[in-house]
Amino acid sequence: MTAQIGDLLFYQGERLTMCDAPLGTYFRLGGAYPEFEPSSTALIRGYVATWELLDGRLYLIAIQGWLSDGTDASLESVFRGYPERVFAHWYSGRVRVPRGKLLKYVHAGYASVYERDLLLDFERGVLVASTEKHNGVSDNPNAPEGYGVGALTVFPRPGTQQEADD
Amino acid sequence: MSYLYLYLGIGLLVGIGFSVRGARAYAKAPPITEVAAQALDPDWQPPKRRWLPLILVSSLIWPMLLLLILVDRPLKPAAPMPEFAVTSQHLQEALSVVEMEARERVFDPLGAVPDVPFGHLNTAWQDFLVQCEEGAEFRRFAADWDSGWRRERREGYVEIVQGQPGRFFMTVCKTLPEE
Repeated sequence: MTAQIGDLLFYQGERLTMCDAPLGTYFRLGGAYPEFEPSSTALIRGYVATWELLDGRLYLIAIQGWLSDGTDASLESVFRGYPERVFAHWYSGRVRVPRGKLLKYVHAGYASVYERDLLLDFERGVLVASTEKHNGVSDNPNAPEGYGVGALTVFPRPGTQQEADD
Repeated sequence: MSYLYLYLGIGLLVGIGFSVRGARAYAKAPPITEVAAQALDPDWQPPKRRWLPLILVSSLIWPMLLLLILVDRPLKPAAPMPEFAVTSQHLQEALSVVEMEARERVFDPLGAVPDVPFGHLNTAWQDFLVQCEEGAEFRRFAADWDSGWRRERREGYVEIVQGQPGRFFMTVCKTLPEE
């Protein structure tokens, strides 16, 4: 699988990338799945969720992506009646947030290694521990800073081909 | 000299055998590239196969071909991934529906969750209850599960049918750290 685009996290005034997808757990636990459409090989789950860590609680504040009918996905596509903010009470587990320079690029999943990993542990949506793991220091002055994906193939938006044919 | 004749003789038989096998496999399922080419251009013809050089070359390198067969033997199909099920070892205390729903009330100071049992998962919970038998007994469960490529902690509630755990509703599913 191609390296995957991560969800976004606003934490302590910074905009970071998460190498885990807590919304996937919601679907696994039986939450309604609106059938997202992958827009590229680097976004097989079909959406990018934006999260905010506020007062030690994990909130979902946006969903961007396409649904299989070609329309734009939003928070309300999954959580009707909650267009602005959803408390992620279903999520327990660790979220990895890579930071610093790239040490080793791996073109698969979230496998690339960065100088540091911020590890956030949640219990039912509440932050219970936060640690930083040091993976090394890059000796490459040109190494990219922050999480990124090296290459991807973009898929057409559902319905656009049919419209073009019409 | 007689060994050379023997080698070439066996090679000839192996070569013919391989060619016949190849021709049969081709007739049964032509390569996908040829199928695609034919679909794109109905006039397209597959390149002619020259059997004689193939047989002659096979006669010379037949030990390697036999080795390839051994290496290329279809691997034993992998056992299907086991599906998670709650077992009696996973069972915890018995709880009524009222007790489970009281435990699973979710509060959020910003009001970003509905004030119902299981919060945003309430619809899934209601769907689960509808499938359970009337007056069913429920137990809490907790299990460490090896899904094949990662270990997970799974928790939730399970319906007990004739003393055995049956349908379950999962409330926690988290990846356990690697040992």
